Amino acid sequence: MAVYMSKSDWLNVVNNIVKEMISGENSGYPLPGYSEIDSSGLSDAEQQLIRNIFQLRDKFAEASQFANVLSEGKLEISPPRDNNLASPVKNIHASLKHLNWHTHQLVKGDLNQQIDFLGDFSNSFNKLIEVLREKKQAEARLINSKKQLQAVFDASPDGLVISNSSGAILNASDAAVHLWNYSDFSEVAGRNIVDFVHPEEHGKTLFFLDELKQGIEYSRVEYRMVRSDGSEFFCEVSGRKIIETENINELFLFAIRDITQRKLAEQALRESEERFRTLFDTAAAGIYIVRDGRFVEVNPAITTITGYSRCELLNMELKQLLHPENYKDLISMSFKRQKGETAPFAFEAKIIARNGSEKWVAVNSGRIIFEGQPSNIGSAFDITERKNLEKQLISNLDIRDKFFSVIAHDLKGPVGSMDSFLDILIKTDWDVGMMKEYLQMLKKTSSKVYELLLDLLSWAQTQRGEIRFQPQMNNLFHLVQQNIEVQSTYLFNKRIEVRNNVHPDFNFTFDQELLNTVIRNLLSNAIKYSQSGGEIIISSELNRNEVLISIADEGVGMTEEQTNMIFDNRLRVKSKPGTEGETGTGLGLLLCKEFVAKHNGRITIQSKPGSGSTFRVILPV
Amino acid sequence: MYRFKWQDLGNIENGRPNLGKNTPVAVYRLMQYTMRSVLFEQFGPVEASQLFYKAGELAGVEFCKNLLDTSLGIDAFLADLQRCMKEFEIGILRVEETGVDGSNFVLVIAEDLDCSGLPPTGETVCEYDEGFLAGVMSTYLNRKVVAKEIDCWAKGDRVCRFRLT
Repeated sequence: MAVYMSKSDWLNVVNNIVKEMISGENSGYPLPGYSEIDSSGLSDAEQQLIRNIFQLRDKFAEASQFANVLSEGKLEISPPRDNNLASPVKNIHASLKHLNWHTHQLVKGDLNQQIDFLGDFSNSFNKLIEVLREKKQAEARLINSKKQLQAVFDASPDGLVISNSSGAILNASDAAVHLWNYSDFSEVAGRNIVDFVHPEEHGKTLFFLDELKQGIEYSRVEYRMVRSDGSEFFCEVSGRKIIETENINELFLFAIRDITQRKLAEQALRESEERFRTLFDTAAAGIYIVRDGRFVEVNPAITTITGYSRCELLNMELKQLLHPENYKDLISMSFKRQKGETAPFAFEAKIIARNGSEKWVAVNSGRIIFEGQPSNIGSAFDITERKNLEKQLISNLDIRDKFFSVIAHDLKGPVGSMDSFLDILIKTDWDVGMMKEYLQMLKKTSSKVYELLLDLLSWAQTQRGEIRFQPQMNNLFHLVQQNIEVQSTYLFNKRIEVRNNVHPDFNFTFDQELLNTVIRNLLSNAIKYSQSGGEIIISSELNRNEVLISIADEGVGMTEEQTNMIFDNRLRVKSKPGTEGETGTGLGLLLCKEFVAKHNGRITIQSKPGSGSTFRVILPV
Repeated sequence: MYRFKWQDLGNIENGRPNLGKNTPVAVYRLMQYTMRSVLFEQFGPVEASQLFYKAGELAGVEFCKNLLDTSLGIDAFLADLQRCMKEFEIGILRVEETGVDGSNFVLVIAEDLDCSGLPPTGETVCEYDEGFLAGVMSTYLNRKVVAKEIDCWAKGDRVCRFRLT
């Protein structure tokens, strides 16, 4: 049953409700519910006011309880509905729940979230997330870096080993394990790296370990290591100190590279080089290497061929050694090869030895890389002797050809004539006069053949070196006079006069037989090329230490070209017919030249077509 | 029959070179609440609210398809949704709960475009938002999601809280 309350009671109730709301404490005054009170004594406005105050009290209590529970951190509380007093707290509740969710997300590792528009909360939380993101990224980078490092460690063809400062192996790549002929890291883990080094190099290893401790790195030091089966192998080891940051332990990293194959290759190369060097030094052929036109290496045989020492050659250019005749050709060949054109790699060339003599060498050359640079290598044989023999052989062939030519042509005619005369004499009944005339013609031809045979014999003796030079004091006048008399019939027939202007008492030392041949041939030629009625003058003079004998005619003379060719036996000059068709072998002048040369003298010719010729024999006395 | 397509939004930048792509919230609400008034009068509150929910759901589906990365994991997707709603000034999305199996969510939208700052009326007014969140999450989760507003600014709650199941 509702309790009636007076207005003052109502005021008391309302006052206590407000006091409790303000103080938050129980006033001790019994406060009934609104429905328990009879408010009929109040006006409608007063009743409405009191109802609102009671409703305010209930909403306040609900909001306070919600805030109290929330203040205990109990976010799962359901927020009151339709309570405006609780609205700000509900906002806080929503924010706290959101932060709570975020915190759970962080615990899960979710760093994608962002808190917006929550004042200091947002700033701090977002900063925290940012820091965590950076840390996560750093961790990811670190993990990635470790993975990359591990990948490098695993994939490196060099064996990689990490040991502690005592050398105990903490980690080793598969490559390292296999280098030592083990199959698994567990077989080498914890063992000292020194155990894998050849005993003779333990001292060196310990020394390097000490240096590593002092922070000194070393790289590519050669070691001998031993495999599990006791076999040795060569390797290069690089080492450095690394720091493990987590516990600040000193660690050593070793990179081990198997260089056995390289060492074997080096050994083979060394042996090959030694073989090449031995061959180079002992070869009979001269061997040289040239770069940019200069000698960069020569063997002893080259020094023998050239006469230059190794030191001299290494300071010389190739062109200094080559004969000028060959230099241009060889440079041209070299350029052709450089341009990729074809040029002979084998050739013969003349060089000038240190003593100035000319030598022939046969050269084979090719391209090589020497001391890392493109160079030419060549081998050279001294072929001077062979060349001289070739020259001699050619000369001998010339002699042979000349000999056969004379026999074939120059003897054939007169002997044929004599044969014909003899046929006529045998087959015909001649009177004595006619027979004598034919016999004189036969004699003339016979004398000519005989003279030719004498020349041929002399020439053959000369070529074989059988002519002996026997100078004696002789009289030149008599020698000239004898020859004029021998030719008297010939001179008579051509009506040619010879004047011997040599002083009758002119004596000097000469080989009577050889100079006789010279005078005979020069006089015979002068008659042969003189016109009928002409004059020949033979004279002599003593000029200081030389005797000059001249035979001058007024005959047909010669051109300058003919004069220059006349003593060149290589050209095999054919004798020109005389003014009355006289023939000759061409041997006479060659004999003159040879025999005057035996006296260390010389012959000069002064001639002009149509004005005659003057041959001068100049002999030393 | 008209069926909404994302392209129907048009090229706003070209179309409004001077006024730009933004418009005051009041204009949005003017259209929202006049439409609400007409629909309520035409169809009654229940059917009108359903129409708003459906419209919001269609908007959420298109929004998700065209602007969000559905290949992301749920945490990254919610962060992306949060970023996108802020960028388009729809509201400040705050996640309060995600179910262990990812099937239940409690999401809060502060400074909601539809209702923040409205005088308390004692009624929830965020049916469009309900539909929007349901459309987004249905598309992402590829299943039917239902959203229900459990607190609303218009009821004096200062935040709009939605439970999605």
